[in-house]
Amino acid sequence: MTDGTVATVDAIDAIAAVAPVLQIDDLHVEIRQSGRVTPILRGVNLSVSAGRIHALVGESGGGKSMVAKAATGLLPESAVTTRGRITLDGQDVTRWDEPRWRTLRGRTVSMVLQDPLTALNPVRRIGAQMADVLRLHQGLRGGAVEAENLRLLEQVQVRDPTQVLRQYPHQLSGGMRQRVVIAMAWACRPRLIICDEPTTALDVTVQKQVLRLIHKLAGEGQGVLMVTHDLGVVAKLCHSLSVIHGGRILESGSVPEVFAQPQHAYTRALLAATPRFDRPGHTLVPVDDGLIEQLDAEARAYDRSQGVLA
Amino acid sequence: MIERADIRLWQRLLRNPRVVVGGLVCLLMLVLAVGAPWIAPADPQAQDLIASFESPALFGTPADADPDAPRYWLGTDNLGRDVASRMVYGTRIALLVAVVAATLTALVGSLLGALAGFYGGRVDALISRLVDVWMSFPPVLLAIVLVSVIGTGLWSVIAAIVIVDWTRFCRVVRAETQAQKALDYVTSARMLGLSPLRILASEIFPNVAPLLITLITLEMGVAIVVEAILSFVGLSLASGTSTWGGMIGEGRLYVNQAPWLMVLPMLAMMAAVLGLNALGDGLRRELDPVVRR
Repeated sequence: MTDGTVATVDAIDAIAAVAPVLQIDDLHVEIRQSGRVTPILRGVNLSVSAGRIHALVGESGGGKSMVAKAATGLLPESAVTTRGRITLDGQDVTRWDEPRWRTLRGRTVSMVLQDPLTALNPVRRIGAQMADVLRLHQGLRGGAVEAENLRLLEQVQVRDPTQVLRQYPHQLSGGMRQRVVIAMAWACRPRLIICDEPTTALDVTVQKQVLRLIHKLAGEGQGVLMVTHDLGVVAKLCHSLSVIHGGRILESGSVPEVFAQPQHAYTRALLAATPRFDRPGHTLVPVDDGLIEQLDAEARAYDRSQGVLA
Repeated sequence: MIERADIRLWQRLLRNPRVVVGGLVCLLMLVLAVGAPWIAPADPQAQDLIASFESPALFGTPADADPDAPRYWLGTDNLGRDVASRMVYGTRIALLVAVVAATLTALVGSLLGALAGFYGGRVDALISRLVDVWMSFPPVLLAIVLVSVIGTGLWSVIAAIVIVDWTRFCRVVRAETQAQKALDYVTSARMLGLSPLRILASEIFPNVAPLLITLITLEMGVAIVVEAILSFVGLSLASGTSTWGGMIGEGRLYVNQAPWLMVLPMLAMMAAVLGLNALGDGLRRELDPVVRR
């Protein structure tokens, strides 16, 4: 482990006192394209427990989405997992192929994408899209599909669900669309749900409703990995967090602990750059360029120590 | 209950002048093709050597004409066959070739294009190289060579069009499939555990379909022209059958004596191709899911 990494993954497990639904150990992933090797994950450790919301925080390009993709088997073909292990609901899925992943997706793990407009097929009715999952994984047919669709939409607090099922995505508002996406992700009660910036594309007022909804649904025992760059969301919604930069987890811990006493300089910088309602008058400080350079230098030094020629 | 969205689509289509004009041209062709035996004033093969090179009666009959003689609205050709009837029957062949050839071309081309676009990698490399090589042949020459090798006849013409033109569909469908595949809804569908074929058929296909409809319409125009070219060089049907291209080819010999023999079938062909292109263009504007939103 590199200097400055505070490994408290075990501590989080102790808090949750349950088996993790997602466990990532020392995950190294690199992109190999036209003879060039670019490391993107440099030893990621992460754990999400049932009934808990774990945040993965960091800026763009830090490897957040890559972790999400690795945990769902959706890494691009040019990505190679060189080291480490991914355990999903007790199964080692690190080197699974696409057909095996298909048996897990939707059933054991599912994902809520950032932009609900593009996450739904523009030319198919909401009802038809929702029905796919239910037919595939729960074997529902005919009237049962319709009934379950209605139940799911009611659960995510969609008004007038009968009407919505017959509509096309472009006829719904952003908030409604994201509710539909969430309903689809939750349809088969997967063990783990990955939310990839689920509120970034939404209006602020709608954001709050969607976050409340995720909180409510997570209360039913599923593990949620919340990929976000919004520390406000983390503070309100999540139980624990990991801070990622340059493909390395810099700090992990429970939300109250980390917010009260951030151990890593980068976490402190991120907190200082976030508006906080609990501290009025708190001046926002942009993340220091020197700190980023230092982190990048550490990442390069780590690559050299691993024998990777970047 | 019919959806509001569908009603709006029909209304929009009917308001678009291109769609309406193109649709009317197609409807006219369909009526002429289906109703040819009843619409054609005479048997297209019946010869009346006494009445050869009659000028179209539409432009007025000469004063010395026999009032009891049959009238040839669009004139007669060198063998005294009724041009109007031949053109009506020619519509039949034109439409048949257009519909069958365009459908088959679309089927072959888009199937390969969808596979290349969706699976990428080696499948894509193979199909794309094939398209590149294929497109380096001059298309009309390829068609002529093909038909002279596989023999003349309606089905040879259709086969030649499919073999020459599948690349058009392949390239467009490949690019569109690739573009659609990169969109989040495909990731979403994968994330829900749908199989690749399922995603291709029920997620991507509906998004590519509007484009395909447009392309098929345009391809119908191309097919009509290619059939005419092959008829013109005498590689389509036996000269006994009436085809627009064949009529143009025969009329060329008498262009100074009886220009209508060549001009009239050319006009028919132009109207058909223009109509189909207008329809295709109008449909593209109205059906494009991006423009529609």
